[in-house]
Amino acid sequence: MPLRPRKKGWSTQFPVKDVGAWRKRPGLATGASRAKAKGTVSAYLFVLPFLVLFGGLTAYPIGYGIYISLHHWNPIVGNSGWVGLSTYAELLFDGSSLFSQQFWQGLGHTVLFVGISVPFLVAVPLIIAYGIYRAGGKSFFRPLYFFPATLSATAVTSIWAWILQTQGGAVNQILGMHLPWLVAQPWAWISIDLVTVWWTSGFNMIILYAGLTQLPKTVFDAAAIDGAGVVSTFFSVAVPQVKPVLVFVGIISTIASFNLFAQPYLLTGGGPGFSTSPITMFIYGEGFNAMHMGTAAAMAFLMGIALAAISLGQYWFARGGGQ
Amino acid sequence: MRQPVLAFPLLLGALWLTAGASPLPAARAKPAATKAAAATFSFWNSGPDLSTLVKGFNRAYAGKYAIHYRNIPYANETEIVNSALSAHHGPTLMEESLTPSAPYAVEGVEVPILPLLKMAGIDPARDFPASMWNRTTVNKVHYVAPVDALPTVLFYNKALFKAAGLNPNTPPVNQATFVRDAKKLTVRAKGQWGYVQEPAWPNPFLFPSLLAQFGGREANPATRKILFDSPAGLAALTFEHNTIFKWHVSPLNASNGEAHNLFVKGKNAMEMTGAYDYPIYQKALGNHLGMAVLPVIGHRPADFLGQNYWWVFKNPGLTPAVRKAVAAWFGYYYHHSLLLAKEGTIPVWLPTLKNPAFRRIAGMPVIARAVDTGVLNPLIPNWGTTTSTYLYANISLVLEGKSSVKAGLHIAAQKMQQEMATLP
Repeated sequence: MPLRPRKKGWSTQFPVKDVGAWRKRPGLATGASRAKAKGTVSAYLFVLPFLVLFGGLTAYPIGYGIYISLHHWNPIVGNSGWVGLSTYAELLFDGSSLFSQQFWQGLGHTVLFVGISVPFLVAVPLIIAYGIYRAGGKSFFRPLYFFPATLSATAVTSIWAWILQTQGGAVNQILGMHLPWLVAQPWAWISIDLVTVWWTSGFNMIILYAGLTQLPKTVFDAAAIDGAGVVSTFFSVAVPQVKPVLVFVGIISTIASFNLFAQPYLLTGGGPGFSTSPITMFIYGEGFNAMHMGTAAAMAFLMGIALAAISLGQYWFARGGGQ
Repeated sequence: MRQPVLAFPLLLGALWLTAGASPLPAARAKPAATKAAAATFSFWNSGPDLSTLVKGFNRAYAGKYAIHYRNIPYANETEIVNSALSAHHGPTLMEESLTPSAPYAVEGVEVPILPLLKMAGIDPARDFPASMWNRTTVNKVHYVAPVDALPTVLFYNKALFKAAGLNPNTPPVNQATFVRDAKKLTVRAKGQWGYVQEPAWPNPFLFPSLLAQFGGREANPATRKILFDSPAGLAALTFEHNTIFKWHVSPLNASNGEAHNLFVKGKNAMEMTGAYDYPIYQKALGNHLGMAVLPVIGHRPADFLGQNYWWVFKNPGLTPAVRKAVAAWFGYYYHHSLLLAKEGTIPVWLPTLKNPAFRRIAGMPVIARAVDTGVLNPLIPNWGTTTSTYLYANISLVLEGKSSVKAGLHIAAQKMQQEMATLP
């Protein structure tokens, strides 16, 4: 009998339930466990660099962040005393506290932005990806639409701040109006949304385009034979087929939108008033300017919990949860 | 399987050995050893780039003193410095604007600066403008010394004045002449404005200027009582509000930076802002640029002074030799302030301010006058970066017509008073 089964006919000669018995045959046990141990050690060694980096750059900062959030913490002098969960309680329940007002105000603005940006960040790239997929000129349009995603936040906001000026901005010049794009509502949110969609749609478009290319061409051919037009094929064939990719794009867009910071910081300064100040701006201000690092850390963890809950909800819903 | 199992630890070992045997650490150690004789300190600033002057100092004091200089970005100076201090890698000498120094003084991580100035032969009462030295104490101790000044001034376009039938050499000097001129300079059909009042910037310069002109103060640093919602504050903000809604000499809803952009394009005739814009405006308008001290909108001349100050952090490296090195640098800097003035940095060294050579530099006599009547922000921790957020956010709502002057200042004062209780 050969020591190892031939590849062909493996399942019939050695059903899976018999493998253990085969390994336990006298004379093979030592070698097999040695090989298994080597494999395990090897696997751990391969993941070791990642584990070291993950531990040092993610796990440790998270743990330390939790520790900071349970203390009064001034970045200049460090730990200024244990406060336990009182910061969390203040943020969540004490409406008279300035921190709590900032937290709920910032969270409200952030959720509003997620609500007005994610549908566009999924729909616009999907339409562009589908258009590129069905039309010609792929090698021209893909990089063209992806280009804004390569720009830095500073570059993007500088350009748009100039284009959207009330008096001399290019958009108002074209429209022949003086719309207050950056200094009054609802224009300020519309501007931030517009800039975000322009800036990041290319990235989502590439992911969705990759998803479309994985669909069997025969499905589209069949739809064409059945007389389906481009639009009906889009809604009845393409969208249902790329649903898993759409869910993924929706979740990463939600996470990205939740982390909104640069666009309002550089375009509107969080204004008019505080109306475009997301929670990240309050976290930044409290942590680095007002020197309330404990409060800032607690705000960040509560924001993280809210984000995780929303992402899980999206995932659950997309998987047909509740049905 | 055998090869990866062996290869990986070998690779790690090789990397470790290579790193350990690298000539780099030795190479780094060598200059440090040779420089050990020189008293060395680190100096960070977020104001004008001083690398040329630092190089000159290092050359002049080679072998005796040396500075490790770093120019950090103004936009996020606070987090850079605080992160460094948290990691015990902060600088010895720091230069930023005035109010960021206050929390460090309150937390006891700065050293009094008078002994260092005395060591350099500097008498602050004699050598610095009173506007930049007085009212810069924390608990009655001076921890900071002025580096440069950026007063608020009036810029105006002489060509537009001439076209409007105004004398280009007599800019407005009070509220009445300002409004009169602004009305004549506003030609809406051409998209030309007599004045552009942005809801946001440059209020951190303009509002404190007007407040002081009407006899008010932003806050009392000793009691941390907010004072800007006074009759003087109401008068100051009402003036700004009226330029848009009553006299219609300014557009509604001007975006951030629009006053500047329209001024450069010749569509804004007057701007009241920090003197930092002088080089850009000079380049854009050339001989058509006019600059004057702020018109007296209120009852007395006053203008807010943008500014940079320096202070010394307490750290183990602050030996007597390093203190001497810091003092030497102070002396070197102030004695070279005429050179810096020629490059656009406005000095705070009275011997330079009074120097005829300084007064011959274009624009500088106006700036020197503005320094004399300057006012500073109250020395309360992070006044400029944090607490004023409430003030300027509410002022912007007032100037967008979303809130009344009284309500805007009242809400801002209430929030800031609450914020005062949470500051160090």
